[in-house]
Amino acid sequence: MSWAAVRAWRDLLADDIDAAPHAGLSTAGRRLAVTLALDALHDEALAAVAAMPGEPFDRATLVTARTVATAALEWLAVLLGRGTAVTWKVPREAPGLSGWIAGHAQQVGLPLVVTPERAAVSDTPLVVVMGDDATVAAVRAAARPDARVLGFGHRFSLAWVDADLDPVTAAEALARDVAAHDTRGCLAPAVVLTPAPERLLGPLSSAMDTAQARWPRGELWPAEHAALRARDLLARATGQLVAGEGWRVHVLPPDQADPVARPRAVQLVALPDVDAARSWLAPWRDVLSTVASGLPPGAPSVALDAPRRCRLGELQAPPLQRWHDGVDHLRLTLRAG
Amino acid sequence: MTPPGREALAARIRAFVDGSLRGAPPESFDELAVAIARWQAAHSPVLAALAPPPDTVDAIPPVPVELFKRLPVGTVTAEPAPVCFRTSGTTGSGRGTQRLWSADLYDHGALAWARRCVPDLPAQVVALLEDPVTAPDSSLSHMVALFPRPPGDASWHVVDGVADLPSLVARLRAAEGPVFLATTAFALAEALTVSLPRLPDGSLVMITGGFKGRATVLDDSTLVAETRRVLHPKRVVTEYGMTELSSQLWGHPGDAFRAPPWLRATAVDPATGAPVPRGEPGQLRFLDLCTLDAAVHVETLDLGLVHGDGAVTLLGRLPGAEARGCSLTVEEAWARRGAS
Repeated sequence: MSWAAVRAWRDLLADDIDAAPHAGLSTAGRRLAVTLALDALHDEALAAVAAMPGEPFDRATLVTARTVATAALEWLAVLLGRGTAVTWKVPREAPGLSGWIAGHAQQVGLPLVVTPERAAVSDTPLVVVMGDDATVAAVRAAARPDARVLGFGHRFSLAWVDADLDPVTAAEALARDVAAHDTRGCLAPAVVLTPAPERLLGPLSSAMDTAQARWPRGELWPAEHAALRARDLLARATGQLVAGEGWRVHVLPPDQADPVARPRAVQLVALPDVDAARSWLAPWRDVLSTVASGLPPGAPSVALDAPRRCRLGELQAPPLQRWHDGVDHLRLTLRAG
Repeated sequence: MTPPGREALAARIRAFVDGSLRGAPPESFDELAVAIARWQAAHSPVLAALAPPPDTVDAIPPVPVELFKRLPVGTVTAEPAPVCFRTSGTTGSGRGTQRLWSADLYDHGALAWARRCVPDLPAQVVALLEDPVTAPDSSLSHMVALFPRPPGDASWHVVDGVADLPSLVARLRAAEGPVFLATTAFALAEALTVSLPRLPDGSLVMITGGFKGRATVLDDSTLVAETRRVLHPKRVVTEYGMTELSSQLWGHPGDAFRAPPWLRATAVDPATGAPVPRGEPGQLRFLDLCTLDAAVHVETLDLGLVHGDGAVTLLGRLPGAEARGCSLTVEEAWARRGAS
């Protein structure tokens, strides 16, 4: 067991945030992303995972596609804390924060190596892979026959804002969820459903402006710029576009919205009630990750089926102890799981 | 019902096409483009919502191809459209649609530029494409069906999206005189996996499209080399067209595509939409005067160079489509909506 080393590694990362590679995010945006990920690794959470019974694997491979910069942190903490030696396979062209994360792990003696080589997956009894269906299938095929392969495909998340929720507080929480990771990754709110978009639009625009000032948007890829421009025009033609520097709110009719997140953009969709939300979600129910609703100190307010439910503002801050996309990954990363 | 003013504009466009091929267009490109865009805005609710009617060519809004999947872009809003071309949707996303009142301008421009770029185009056409009778929404099949002389002297060798290679082999073996073998890159790559006969002397091969969403992938130079080795055509020509446009660009392997005088390509900075200097890479936009019924100005998702003479070199798709990490892609989302 190496939980003390994991805590030391977490603290080193926290102390060294400003030295992390930018990974496409602004300086403040990177700080937000890393802080959210490290906050989930608090002492109590690590202790709870440490107390789980089971025999750890001796070695594991973690495969991340081009993904949010900190997605690997929770996996690494759990595996390394249990004493599992980890080979982290990253995309050759997009190593993200991997070098920075691994450097600090090695500094405290944690057995983590980073490689872009595909052969890494063929040698370990446990393989965790995040990517599209083709990537997951390719990794399964390349893994050794007796390996346990946990595959996690593409997902999306959304927010539901009740008509009676304080719109200013809800907007501030949403804007933070949108700002984190520049709305990339499966925990970003791809769409905001609400019975009362007219109440939310003004506060949300203000909150997006404030979030941009606090956590400026980072770099976008050319295809992301093009996709944003297309959605701008879609909103202009079918709904309403409200935009500021670095952010947009696209007010769209339900049949024009889709569960695809765009950087620092919110699709705001009017639906009268949760039943209508269920109908809207039907084509994508099995790729839904998280539904956010309600505000602290209350509980999530809507009963939309999703692997994870949380409150507004918590979408991008998942607790360590949860099921990952409906999978009990903390148990399944143990040999006896 | 065809909106008023279409026939007059169509006549101006035909005159521009014919005149520009003689080196003497009857009016300026910009003037005609603005007239078309203003007419489109007046008769298209979608285009009218995007921007006010333009007074200058620079003010004509470029319509992203994504919108053609979502909305009835253009002046034909009622169903069924008299003529309707749809993208193949090979990646699982929605199908982009160009609705036309008539294919008159499409045919006029396509035939005129093909004859200019491929003057030795053989009269017999062998198409590794869907038959336009069974696939009337394929703009590519529609274009290739314009080429045989006499009209109708063409054979089609893709059925329900699957290449019918035995019938292709039989047709090529029976060919007398040169043929024009028209094919997509991915169908040709598949065809080259079987034993194809050498083409008759004087034959040409036209290759269009890439390998997006396909299992068989060859790089362009390998495909062309293999085509020359197996089929021995007199020449290989390349074609670049889009369902959302009514005009095409033609070229030769390794060279830039030549645009007709009635189509203007621009490369822009994807972040700002501002044109980049000629010869520098950017997101491609096309102003196509023959696209009268839909949108005269179209923004693609392609990266390319526009050279000083207006020719276009394709560099592929805009980078960053895979930057989404674990989140759902638009292709996945639309595939699920389509299946539900």
